Amino acid sequence: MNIILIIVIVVNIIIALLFSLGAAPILVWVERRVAGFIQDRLGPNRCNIAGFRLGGLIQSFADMLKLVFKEDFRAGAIKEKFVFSIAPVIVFASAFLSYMVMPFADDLVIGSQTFVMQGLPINLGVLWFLAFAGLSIYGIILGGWASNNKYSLLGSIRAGAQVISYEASMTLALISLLITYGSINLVDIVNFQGKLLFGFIPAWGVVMQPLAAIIFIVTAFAEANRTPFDIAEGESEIVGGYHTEYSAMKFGLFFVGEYVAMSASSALIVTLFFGGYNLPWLGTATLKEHFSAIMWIIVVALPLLSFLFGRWIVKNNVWPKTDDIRNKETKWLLRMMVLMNMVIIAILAYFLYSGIGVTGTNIAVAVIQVATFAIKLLLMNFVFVWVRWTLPRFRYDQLQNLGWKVLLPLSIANIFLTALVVVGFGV
Amino acid sequence: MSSQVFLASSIIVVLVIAIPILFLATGKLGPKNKKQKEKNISYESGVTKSIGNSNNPFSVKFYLVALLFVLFDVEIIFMFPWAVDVRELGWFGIVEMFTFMALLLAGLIYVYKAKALTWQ
Repeated sequence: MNIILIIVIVVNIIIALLFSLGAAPILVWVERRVAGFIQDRLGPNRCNIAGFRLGGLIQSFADMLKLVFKEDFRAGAIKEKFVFSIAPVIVFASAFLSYMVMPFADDLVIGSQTFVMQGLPINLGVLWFLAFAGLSIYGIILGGWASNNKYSLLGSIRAGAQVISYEASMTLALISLLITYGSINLVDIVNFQGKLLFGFIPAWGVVMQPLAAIIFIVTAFAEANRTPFDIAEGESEIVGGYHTEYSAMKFGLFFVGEYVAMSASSALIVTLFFGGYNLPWLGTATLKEHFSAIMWIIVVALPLLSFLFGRWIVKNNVWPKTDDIRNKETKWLLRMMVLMNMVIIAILAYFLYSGIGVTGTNIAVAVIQVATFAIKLLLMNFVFVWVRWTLPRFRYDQLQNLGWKVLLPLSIANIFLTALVVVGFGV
Repeated sequence: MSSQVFLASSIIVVLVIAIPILFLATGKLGPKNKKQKEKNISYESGVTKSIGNSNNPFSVKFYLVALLFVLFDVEIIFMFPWAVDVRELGWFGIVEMFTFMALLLAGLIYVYKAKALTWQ
C-alpha cells in the first residue's frame, strides 16, 4: 500500500464520479439546448450568476437547488414508507455502480507499477455492467408499487416488461461481440479495438459487428428508459409513470439516476463499439513514441481553436448596448480562455524544453485518452438526446413486437453467423 | 492488483451509501408538511377521491413475458463462457452450443405460433 497507488485509485474514482454524477447537470443542459435547437427555439438561457450564463448551464444548477428546497412530501395514502424511500436509492445506486467498470485510459505505468484505469479495477467488465443495469428495474418496480397509485403501478409494470424484453436481445447481441473479442474484460476489449483491420480501418466494434451495434444501441435506449421507449414515464398517458408520487430530492434521485444510467449506457456503447479511449490510428504505443510531436501539435492547434471559439462567442454573445451583462460575460470568458491557453502552452513549452521523461509521457498519454473518452461519451450522449427529440413514443404492442420478434431473432442469427465465421475461418 | 481492488471497492461502497443519504437528507431543508385531506390521497389526475385499490391484478401478458425472459436469460448464462472460449473449443463447441440453441429456438417458434407474444 503506497502513496502512488492511493492517488491513482482516488483519481480514478473522481473521474468516474465526474463522468457519471458530474455529467448529470451537463446532460440536462445538453438535453434542453438540443431540444430547443431541434424545435427551433432557444432553450434555457436567462439564468445567471453575476452575469455568467455559460449558455444556459446555470439553469441546471438552479433546478437542482429548486429540487433541494421543495417540500419532501409523502402522501398519506402511501403505506410502505420504507420501500417508497429506498426505491430511488436503488435506481441511483445501480446506475452509479454500473459506471464503475468503464476504462478511461490504457494501463498506466508509473515506475515499476502498473495501474488499471477503471473506477473499480476488476476484470468482470461486461458482466458487472449487465448485473447492475438490470438491478435498476427493482427500484422502478418497487417505487411504482409502493406509491399506491394506479398510474405509478402501470408505469412500473410497463417498465419491467420493457426492460426484461430488451435485456434478452441486449445480452445476445453482447455474446456475438464477446465471440469477436474473446474476453469480458473491458480493457482487453478496448485494446483489441486499437488494432487495424486490413492495415487501414480501425478495428472498432461498429466495423466488426455492425448488426450487433445497431441491436445493442436500440436496446440500450430501452434499458435507459429513454424515448422512443419511455412508456414507463409516458407523461401524456400516465401522468409521470413510476415517479408520479415523488417530490423533492427523492424525485431528484430518480432524475439523476436516469441521466447516470444514460451516461453509463453511452460509456458502454463507446467502449464496446467506438474504440473506447483509443484515438483512431493512434494507439497507446504510437502516442508514447511520438509524444513530443503531439505536444507541438497541441501548442499550435490550441490557440488556433481557442481563437475560432472566441470569435464564435463574440459573434453570438455580444449586445450593442455597452452595459449589457452579455458583454461582461464575453469579456471574462475571453480573458479566462487566454489565461488557460497561456498556462497550458507554458507547461508544454517547459516540457518540450526540458524533456518529459517516461513517467511524464505515460501520465500525459493517459490524460489524452481520458479526454478522448470524454469527447466520445459526450457525442454518444448527444445521440441519445437527438433520438429523444426526433422519434415519437412507441405503443406498447409495437415495443413488444420489436423486442421479441425483430431484435431477438436478429441477435440469435448474428451469434450463429459470428461463431461460424470465427471458427470456420480461424480469425 | 488485489489491494487496488479492495481499496477502490471500499471507497465506492462508502460513496454509494453516502451520496443517496446526502440527497435524501436535503429533504429536511424544504418547507414543513401541511396536513391536508386532498393532498394526502394519491394523485390520479386531480380526481378528489381515489377509486378502488391500486394493488389490482394485472394482465397475464406481462407474466408470460417475464417467464420467457427467465428462460432466455438462463440460456444466455450458459452462452457467456462458450462465447469467450469459442476459439479454443472449435467445432466441438459450435456443434454443442448450436444444438442447445436450436432446442431453445424451437421453443421460441412454438411461442410465436401459440401467439403468446401477440398483443390483443
